Amino acid sequence: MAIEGELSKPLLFGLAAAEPDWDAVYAEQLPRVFNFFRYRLANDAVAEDLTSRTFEKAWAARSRYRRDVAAFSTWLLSIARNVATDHLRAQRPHLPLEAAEEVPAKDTPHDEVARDSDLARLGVLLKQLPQREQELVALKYGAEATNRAIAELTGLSESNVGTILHRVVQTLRRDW
Amino acid sequence: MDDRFLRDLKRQPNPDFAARLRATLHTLPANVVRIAPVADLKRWFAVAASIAVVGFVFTLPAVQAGAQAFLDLFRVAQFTGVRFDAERLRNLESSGLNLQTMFGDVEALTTPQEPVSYATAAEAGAAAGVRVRTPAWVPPGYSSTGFVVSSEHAARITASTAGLQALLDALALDDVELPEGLDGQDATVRLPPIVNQTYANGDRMLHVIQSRSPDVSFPAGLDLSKLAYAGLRILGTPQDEAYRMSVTIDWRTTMIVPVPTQAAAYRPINVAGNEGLLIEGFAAGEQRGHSLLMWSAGGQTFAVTGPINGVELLEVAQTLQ
Repeated sequence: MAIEGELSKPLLFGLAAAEPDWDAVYAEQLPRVFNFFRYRLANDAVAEDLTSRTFEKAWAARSRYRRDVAAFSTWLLSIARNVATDHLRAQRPHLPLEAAEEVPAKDTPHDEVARDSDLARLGVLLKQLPQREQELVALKYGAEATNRAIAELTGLSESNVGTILHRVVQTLRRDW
Repeated sequence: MDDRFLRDLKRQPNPDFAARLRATLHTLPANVVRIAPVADLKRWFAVAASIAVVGFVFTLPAVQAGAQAFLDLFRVAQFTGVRFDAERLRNLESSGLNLQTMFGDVEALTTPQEPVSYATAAEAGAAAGVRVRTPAWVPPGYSSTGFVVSSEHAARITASTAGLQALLDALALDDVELPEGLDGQDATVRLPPIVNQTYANGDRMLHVIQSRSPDVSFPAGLDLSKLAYAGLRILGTPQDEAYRMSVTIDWRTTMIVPVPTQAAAYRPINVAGNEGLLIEGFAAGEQRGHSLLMWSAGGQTFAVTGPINGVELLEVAQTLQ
């Protein structure tokens, strides 16, 4: 049975020919990815390192996405999420992430020193939340992703994303 | 909701860092993603390999694209889509070329058996040797109609340089160089049983497909990058893009999925922490809005396909348990 397309071939060819301006894409996406990692890990140096890793991975594979530029930011954030997961896993070599979600975080001496900055203060508060909530905050406020994009990235429904974020923000505001 | 305290914490990246990274990216070669050595190809665990699953889903009417002959050579672990004009190859076939035999001789190592229907996931799982994962959610109106298990298949493919070269000549692909020593090499493909659970909503069918990862044995030292380049060019990928992909992708774990040119969109998508491939916007017969989502996890390959959108497919995929 032949497949019947909904888009005309000329339109598809047009999409295929559209080559993104990678410098512009970089300028637009860099702050989003960088702040995703800052909110996720509350550490500027680590955020720079992981941002570099994310862009290097994306840059190497960029040819795969020339036809689907609209989804580029979502794709980039999916890479960033994986990079963050790898980093967090490396930090907890003896504890699977799933288990880590259930373990309340404890302050370290580093945490106490870092309280001086608002970002570090946020990091300490976020550590008391499950991994999923931490990630939603980083995607929403660091990467400025829409609830729809977050839903697409995480597999949650859009309304569920909104509900969880509302609850998390209330919690954070209370403890801020 | 007052969330200004959260929004105010953002800051721009350090300009020096931004400039350094930009400069680094521009100096990176296309193959910054390392290609694993090809020496140890005795067992090409197409991790996700989807050989079985992808081979199967592409036989479904919804996704049938006449690409079956190529799937035998481009099977996966992870998935990467490339545009593929099935009509172009059909035209070749109508001109007298037999695509099924141009890659080499295929010798079946198992006797094909009819698929067997089962009423429960447990029965199907016992037959297939897997724990069948069923979705906790399917779109409203869909209900389970049962499970079908296809038997294990194995085949030995003996490559024919002459056949491949004839195909390249027919397509006027003079930029393609076949790997040295390819002629006469054997590849053995073993496809574990595939479980296909179906959900029906009237005449609309949703399929959830699962298989253990196939096992493909290749001769050590085979230049997979060259072979991949040839395959990409045969599929119609432009020369520069085919080259970039051939040298950046780990061909031991990544499968090229030929995406019909008529499909509206394809993109990578995260499925419970695993990178999958979502193809949306194609029609099958009278039914429009078909989508296909493929991913692999835990040594198994999964696919969900049906006349629903990508968000719903992802929802189904995320709830497999």
